[in-house]
Amino acid sequence: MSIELKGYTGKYLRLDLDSLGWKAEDLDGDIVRKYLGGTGYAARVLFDEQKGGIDPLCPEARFFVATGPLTQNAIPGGGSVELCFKSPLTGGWGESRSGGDFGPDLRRAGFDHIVIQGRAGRPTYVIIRDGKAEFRSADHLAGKLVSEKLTLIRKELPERRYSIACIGPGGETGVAYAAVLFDDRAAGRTGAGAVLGSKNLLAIVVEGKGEVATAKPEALKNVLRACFTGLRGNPVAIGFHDNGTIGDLAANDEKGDWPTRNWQSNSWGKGAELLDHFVKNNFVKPYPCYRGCTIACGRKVRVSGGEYATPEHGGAEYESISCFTAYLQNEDMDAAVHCSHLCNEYGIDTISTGAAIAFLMECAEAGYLEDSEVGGLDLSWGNAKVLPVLVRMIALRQGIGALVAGGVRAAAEKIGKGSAEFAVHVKGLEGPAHDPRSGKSLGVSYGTGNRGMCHIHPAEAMAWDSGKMDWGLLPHGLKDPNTVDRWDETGKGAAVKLIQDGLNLPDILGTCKFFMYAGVGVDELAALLSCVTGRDSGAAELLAVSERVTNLQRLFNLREGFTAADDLLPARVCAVPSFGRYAGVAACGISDFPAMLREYYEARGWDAITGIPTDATLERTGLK
Amino acid sequence: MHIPVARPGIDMRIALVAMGQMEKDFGGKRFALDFPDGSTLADLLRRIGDDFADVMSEALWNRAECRFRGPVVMMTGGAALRDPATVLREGQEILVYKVFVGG
Repeated sequence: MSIELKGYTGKYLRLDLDSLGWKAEDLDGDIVRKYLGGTGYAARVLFDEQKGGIDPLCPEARFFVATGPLTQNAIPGGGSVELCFKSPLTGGWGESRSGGDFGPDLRRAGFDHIVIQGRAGRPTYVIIRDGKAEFRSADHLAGKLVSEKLTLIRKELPERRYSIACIGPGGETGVAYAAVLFDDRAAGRTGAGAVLGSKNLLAIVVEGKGEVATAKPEALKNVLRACFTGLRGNPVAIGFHDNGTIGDLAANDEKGDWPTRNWQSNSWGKGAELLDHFVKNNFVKPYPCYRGCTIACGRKVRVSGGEYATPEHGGAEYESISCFTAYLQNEDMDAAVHCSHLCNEYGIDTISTGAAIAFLMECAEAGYLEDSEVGGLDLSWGNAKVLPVLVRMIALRQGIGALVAGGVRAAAEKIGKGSAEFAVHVKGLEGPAHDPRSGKSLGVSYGTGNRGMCHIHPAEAMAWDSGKMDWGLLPHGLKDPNTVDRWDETGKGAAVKLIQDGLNLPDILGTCKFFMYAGVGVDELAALLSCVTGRDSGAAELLAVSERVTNLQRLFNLREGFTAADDLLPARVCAVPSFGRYAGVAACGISDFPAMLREYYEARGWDAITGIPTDATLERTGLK
Repeated sequence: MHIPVARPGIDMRIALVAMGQMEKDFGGKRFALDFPDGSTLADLLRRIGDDFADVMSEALWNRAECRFRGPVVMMTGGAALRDPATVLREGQEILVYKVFVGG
């Protein structure tokens, strides 16, 4: 079926790795109308094409590379790509986003999406250019670090400008939280790299000069002018540019938003000192991850010398550094920067890797690990020297690394002995570096996010009740965060529903959600969509699309056997911290999470006990 | 708040405005600060250290280096104020924001 709307190439590419064949197919107009693009379009296709219960790493499993109608360099946040798949880590909805030029370049190559199925007989990579695909042998890339792979690929394609998605050794060995790298940017969470690795597809190269038609180009210029004028004077945009995400290290430590020692506390007291070290010794300059980004939240960083030396690279995000500092009580920032870089080189998620190491450290402390498993390593809290060793062992599935390569949930099942208490995850996805004991709405986010315990997909809700952000959602019913107490538990479920609906939109439209933090809200996104596609959806309709997508992803998970029990938080995430700034502060502990969850279910129109979308909700959201 | 006209060549007065959550950190919203002509952003930061370091947390203020720590944005006339050598002007209003940089 052809697409009448502008703003899309109208085509997606299907790659069959069994036969090394490819086909350009038309986008489905009905799906575009109901789901727009990005994670929305992907959710529909994955739900329809894949059976429930499928092995995420079998050849029949689909891997979806998605862009949206706003994935263009000229659009605020338009350098974006979403990877969607059944997660080998959680067994449920897998979704992972990266910034960069890959998304816009895929559309210039002639395609809105790629659907990958099958398994190549040997290591392979694919070049997608000007509406066609070409498979090439990747025997020479197998086992190499990401930067080595990129260098070799670029040697084969010397004179062209292109973007590359690449897995590292962690994807090739099937680490359940292996990442896909786009130069220095990572689609880190839920194991996208393992899925590509299972298909023997080591890299995807995209290049093209195609243009995607715009419905109202003159109107678009005016809307863009207004957006960029606003961004220039927006304090959040300036803050992102000047500080990067790592800038919040000290503030989050102070707010109790810094999971410490495997979530035993929410605050450490080392945030200021570590941030100062970073600014003085590791930070080089800001950089934009895609051509045209006016925020440029990326940091070029390095460790200049010593045992943790790194080349200059893009990295040291707040999450990555926190999971190699506070999570492990490692006071060596150089080691943390080094390990974040190493994770990218080996192609494994920094958050899950840090969480896995924290789990091991706590198991070792409790005496749950055999000497033969530990292999002589010193797994003491704060031991920086062991961290790079463990990163490599995990990526290569060696020794104790193999024990945690399937994630902390699987590792706890293997170890037993009460180690499950140390496995901090929801739905199998390890927790990131934000703590709901700083703002309890995050607890609802963590419990109900379709990909698991995630702060950013769809939404880091503590930015509302603790950080006092509103993302332009006040006119759409969000309560003013300045009237909300961060430690209240009522009213949070309903708010999180709306925050999720709003913050899901960049993932559907194919943009970076940091621009929503900086004033490009739902109304602006609706205006941009109207100019690009000619589709005059207002904000209300966009939020309805987002709600539809959330419900469909929920159905995906329910079909995989998830229940309301999988929405619950680990006990220690709710517990009053036993040390740190908030030790003994009863108010910060989550006293009745099930009640918060019930409120969320009600707001969503889901059964209060089972969390299953009701027939009325499915009807209302167009899913019945 | 009244900002009187500075005596030419002798001093100038600027307004420091704590926006949003910064109001709690500064212990107030608007502050009239007097400086000699030719004073710079560096001078303002030193003054902030002198007048407010005791009420600001370690997460927010780096005492040793006399600067904000983390994502604090200073703005004037709709633009960011970054360069410590920027010369201040009589009657200037400088807004200070503590922002959340997510991630």
